[in-house]
Amino acid sequence: MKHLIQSDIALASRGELSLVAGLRAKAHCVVCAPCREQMDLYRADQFRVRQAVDSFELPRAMNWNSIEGEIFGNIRLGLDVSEIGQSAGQKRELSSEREISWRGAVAVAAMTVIVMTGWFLGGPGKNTYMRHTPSAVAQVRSGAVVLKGDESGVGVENRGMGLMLRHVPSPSSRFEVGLEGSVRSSAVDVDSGQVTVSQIYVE
Amino acid sequence: MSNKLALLSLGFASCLVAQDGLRVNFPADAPISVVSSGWGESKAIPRGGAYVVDVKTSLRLKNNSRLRLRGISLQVSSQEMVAGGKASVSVPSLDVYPGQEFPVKIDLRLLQPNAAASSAVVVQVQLDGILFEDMSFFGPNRLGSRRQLTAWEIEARRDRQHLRLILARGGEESLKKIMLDVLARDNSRPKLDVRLARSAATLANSRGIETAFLAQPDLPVEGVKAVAVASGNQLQILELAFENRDKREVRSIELGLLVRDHEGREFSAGSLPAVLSMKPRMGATVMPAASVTLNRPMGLPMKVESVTGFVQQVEFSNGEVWVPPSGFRDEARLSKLIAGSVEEQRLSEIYRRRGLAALIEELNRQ
Repeated sequence: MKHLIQSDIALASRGELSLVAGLRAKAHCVVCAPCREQMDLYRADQFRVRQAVDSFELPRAMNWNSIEGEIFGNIRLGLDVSEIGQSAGQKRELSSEREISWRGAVAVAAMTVIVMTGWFLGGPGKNTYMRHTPSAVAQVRSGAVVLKGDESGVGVENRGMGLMLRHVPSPSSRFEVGLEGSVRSSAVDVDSGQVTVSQIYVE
Repeated sequence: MSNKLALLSLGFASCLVAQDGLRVNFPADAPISVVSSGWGESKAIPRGGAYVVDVKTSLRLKNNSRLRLRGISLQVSSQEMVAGGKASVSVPSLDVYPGQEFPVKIDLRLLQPNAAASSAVVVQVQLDGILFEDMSFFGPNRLGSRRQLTAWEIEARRDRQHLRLILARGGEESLKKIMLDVLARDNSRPKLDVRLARSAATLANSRGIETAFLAQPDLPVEGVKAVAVASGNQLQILELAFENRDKREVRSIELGLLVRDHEGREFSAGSLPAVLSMKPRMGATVMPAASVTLNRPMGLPMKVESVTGFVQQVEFSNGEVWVPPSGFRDEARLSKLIAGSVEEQRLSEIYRRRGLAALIEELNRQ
């Protein structure tokens, strides 16, 4: 009996073969133990990769100041390198393309500073303080009171004042709307292993 | 925010909030005490004309009772918790021995209109309830913590028992397979963007839609009537009627809701807790004054064709709580639509992070 080729086993393990070829591969694996084992290995690998990706998280105590310092450091470094090039008398040797590139770098650096400054200083707009994830997935509105919930937690806002109960975004975090006027989220704390349920209610 | 950025932002400096604006008020006769409390990392960041204040509080509590503590619920409030809202942080599935200490983290973000207010932040934490191993409860129960903590504990015992049984009958491979299924379902469950507006007004241009209740075994409260209307992606449940089949008086129920779109796809649309008093063999009616707007991810409107309810909690007047048996979600093919218990969430996270051996150890521990 002729064995399946490796690429077909790999594709079949992900269900990416055509319908007929996929059925043929599955039928073959029913009777061929080596090919079946190979396919199981591929599936196990895929599962491990998925698990690794799912369990990846940003460090909880991320030092934003340090990251910010590095960004500014890199911008400064780019400017310094350019200045060194000029002071060493290399400017005349540079082609016009390099000059454009240098100006581009300064422009990009300036734009980066403007964008970052704007980002940090930008006004809250409507409900912006809760909008650090792409969109709310649960919302309750009762007059001027707005409850919101997403992977990051749950919050309430009313006339420019607000409170949010946050948790670390996690693949296992959940949230739910209560039709009586509540939003609930639950997440497992990485450090303590406790599951914490945060809930906001409309009175 | 760093000094560099503070300089760059021309004086829009962040200002640290008061060192300790945390006020923890527990009743004098509470069977738990506060060992330590305080602000953790806290800071205020200017955002236009307002201030965002991040507060990471940490409480360390001690169980002074003679019983093992199973869950706690705290009410959290501040001047930012404007009129009209309430907040709670609950930690179920605990196993705190008498005399043992345990942490409760509260990670808050407050939005304030001005800088002066941000330097005088006061967050109040009050006890709403504690549940012990014998299901006895202590606390003012202003937020309905008794029902919720009791239901979580019953679900936790049910799920741990179910997993222990699987381990005993099918061995480690069976347990592993179950946990992999749980993780896979958590990732693949269809998500719905649910926006609820509290209003008694009937939807414009609405039409009556199909309604149903799931058949459930040994159900103490049965849904007998449901009236719902829809208009595009908006849903309004006008009336729900229930009958108490149990010998005990019912104090409240919680109904899970499933919606189906015009292509036959089903989604969970949240839950409906309702306080309704029902004597044995009597009925009661609920009329939710709210409409729900349902969108699929990326903002695609969901055209609502039908709604199905299932009873997921019943609270009796004697404090007892009924939850569906462990096999219900699988038998009713609900596993792919609704999430499992918070205990299942905790145990699957243990398996995901620490592996099968840690999960088995956890199952054997309690």
